[in-house]
Amino acid sequence: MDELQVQLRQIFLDEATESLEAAEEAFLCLEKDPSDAPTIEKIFRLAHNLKGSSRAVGLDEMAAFTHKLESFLLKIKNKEFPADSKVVDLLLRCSDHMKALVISATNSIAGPEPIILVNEMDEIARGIGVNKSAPIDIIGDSGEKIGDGWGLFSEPSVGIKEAPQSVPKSVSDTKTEIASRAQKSGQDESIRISLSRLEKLIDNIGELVVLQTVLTQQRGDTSTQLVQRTISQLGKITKEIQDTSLSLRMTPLKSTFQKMQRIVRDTAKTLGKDIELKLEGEDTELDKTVVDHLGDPLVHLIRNAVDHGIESPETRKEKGKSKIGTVKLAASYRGGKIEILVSDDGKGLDPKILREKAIEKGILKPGQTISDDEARLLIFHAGFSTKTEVTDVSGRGVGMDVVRTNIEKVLQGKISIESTVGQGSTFRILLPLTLSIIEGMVVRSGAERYVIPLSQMHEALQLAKANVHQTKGIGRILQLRGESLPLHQLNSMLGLKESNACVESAAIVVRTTNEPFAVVVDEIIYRQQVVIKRLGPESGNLPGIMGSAVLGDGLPGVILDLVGLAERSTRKNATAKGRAS
Amino acid sequence: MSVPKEKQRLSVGSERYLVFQIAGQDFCVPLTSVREVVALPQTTRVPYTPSHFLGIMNLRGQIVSVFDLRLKLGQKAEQLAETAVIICDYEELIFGVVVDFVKSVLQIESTQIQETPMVESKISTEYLEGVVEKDDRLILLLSLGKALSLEDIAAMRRSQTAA
Repeated sequence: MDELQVQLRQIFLDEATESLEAAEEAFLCLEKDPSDAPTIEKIFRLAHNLKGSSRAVGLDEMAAFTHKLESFLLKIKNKEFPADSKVVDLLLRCSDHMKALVISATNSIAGPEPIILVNEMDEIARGIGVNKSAPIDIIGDSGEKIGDGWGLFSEPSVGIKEAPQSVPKSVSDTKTEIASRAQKSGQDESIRISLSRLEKLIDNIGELVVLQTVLTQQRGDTSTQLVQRTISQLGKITKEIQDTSLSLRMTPLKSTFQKMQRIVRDTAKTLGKDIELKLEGEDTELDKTVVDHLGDPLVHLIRNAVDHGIESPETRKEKGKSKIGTVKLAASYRGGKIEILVSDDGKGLDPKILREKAIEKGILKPGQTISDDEARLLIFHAGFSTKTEVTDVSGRGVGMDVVRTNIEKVLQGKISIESTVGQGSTFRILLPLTLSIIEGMVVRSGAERYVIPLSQMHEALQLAKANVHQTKGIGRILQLRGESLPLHQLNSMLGLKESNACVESAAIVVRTTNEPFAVVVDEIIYRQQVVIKRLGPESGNLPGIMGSAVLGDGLPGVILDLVGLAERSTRKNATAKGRAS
Repeated sequence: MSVPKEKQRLSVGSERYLVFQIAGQDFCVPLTSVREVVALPQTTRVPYTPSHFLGIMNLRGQIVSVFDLRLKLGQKAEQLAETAVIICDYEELIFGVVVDFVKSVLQIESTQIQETPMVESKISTEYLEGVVEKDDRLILLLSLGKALSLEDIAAMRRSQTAA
């Protein structure tokens, strides 16, 4: 295969992934309204495009399969049989098969065999459309390559004209409107850029900003007005370029949200429930890394809502609720953060049941009292599951704790629960817009400077000798407004020699863990917004080190995770003590 | 696809090498693994790393790890005007190695490369891939991968991206 062909194929595979997402969305629309002509038309067009372009880049397997699929769709379009849930189910499985083909083509391996799907399509087509002759006979030659695929065009063009006429006028108007809206959102102009190239650009712009800072600082050295003015204008433009470059990494949540439709549908079907998923704020934009890491926790929360939250249709009827359960997924901006809500109108979390369960599992001691809010947080405890029966849908209580870890540790976010018994629950996730930029405090300890994320700092204070107590056994203690906090020296946490000065130094109080602590640094220098850069694997896996950043003067600095460092040094101390005794 | 052919060409024909000096001894690495050579900038130490890991540097906005090859080879690490950092690209790992100074680029025929003789030397022979005699001087062909145990790191990286 020559290079151009490889390139073309890559472009095709990217497009195919997008088309398949769009197709899946359309399949689900079709299930809601099987006679929706514009949707059928859209699906048909997608399949047709995929067929044409997969053949053009030499993916014969995919071309053969899409040809089958297209013929099948044509029969739906010609109303030979209705697009009932059985048909939609088959279509969804077909799109799964196509996805598998795309993945195998990406990795240049042989794809799965579509025989079962093809047989099912044939069966449905044969079972209903006996008296009508199929426009193109496809039955029986699954192995044969397509000879006259382009001949199909004559049929669809008739179909397009006919289809809207068969729909009553008023309905047809709204349908067209929906269709045109769908088309518009699909036509958002964009180009594809590899993430590594984008990161390179952002790196270079970061360097530009550093050089610009140097230039601005030296501006006083020149007396030429023109040069001075140019430098200050350059500064403004540089800032603007930096802002724009960082926004390039932002992507809408749409595709992540859309995937949930399928998950709700499949899960609800397995459980025999009738559930509608409402999406809000799909256009909210987030940093690509955040979006990538958000998928798994969301899937889990949604599955959990469908499985544990929403009651069975019978129970809902008894309780006087609508038979159809609702799960809502909404995203919106909240200050500099983003808020994602996963809510359901199910049975809610009953603190009483949760407490009993926790005692039964040994998480809570009998007689230990906790508030209702605390009780609800118990579901994030490892090994906690409120459903007595373990289903294959949402696991055995491993998961909710993973959801919380993912959101808090990986995404630097927060998750909370609001719930009313009998009315439903809402999981509220608060996330930073990006993981690549943080507000940091630059501090000095010994000869080096470090960046400490502002999110970890509760407060910073000047150390006074009177407040520090040296104790035997448990180290130094900081007395702060009547509270005793363990006081660590940053250098010794980093495995370096302790710097001797203690009087003039400052302390940073960390309260993001269950046990707050304070860290001594030599100096708190300034506050800076930094772009996090990952360290190479030779040094990137050290606990307590989040990454690195270019500081204001262009030199690199290490970003520390004080919580990780503290855990590391307590662990080390514990093992040292264990060895001593 | 076309990879085996490429490899064959490299092993049979001749290749260009970057020659540098550490403690008076000439070493060389394939030029294809070299990105650029820069003067030693100020570096920032990373906690909990071995002493030959000098720290990180800012290479036009990219943070690059820097190893002091001289310390790794058991030599003195002096900071002189000529002290240079060779920015290398080893299996998509970008890093810098500090050497005393960079000498030249040399075309070496693969037939000129001899096996490493088993001799007493200050430098562990397991880091070497062979020796070349040029103008009565011995140039040691250094394997960066072995000297810096990068094979493990590259493997680690691969498993990371796979996960």
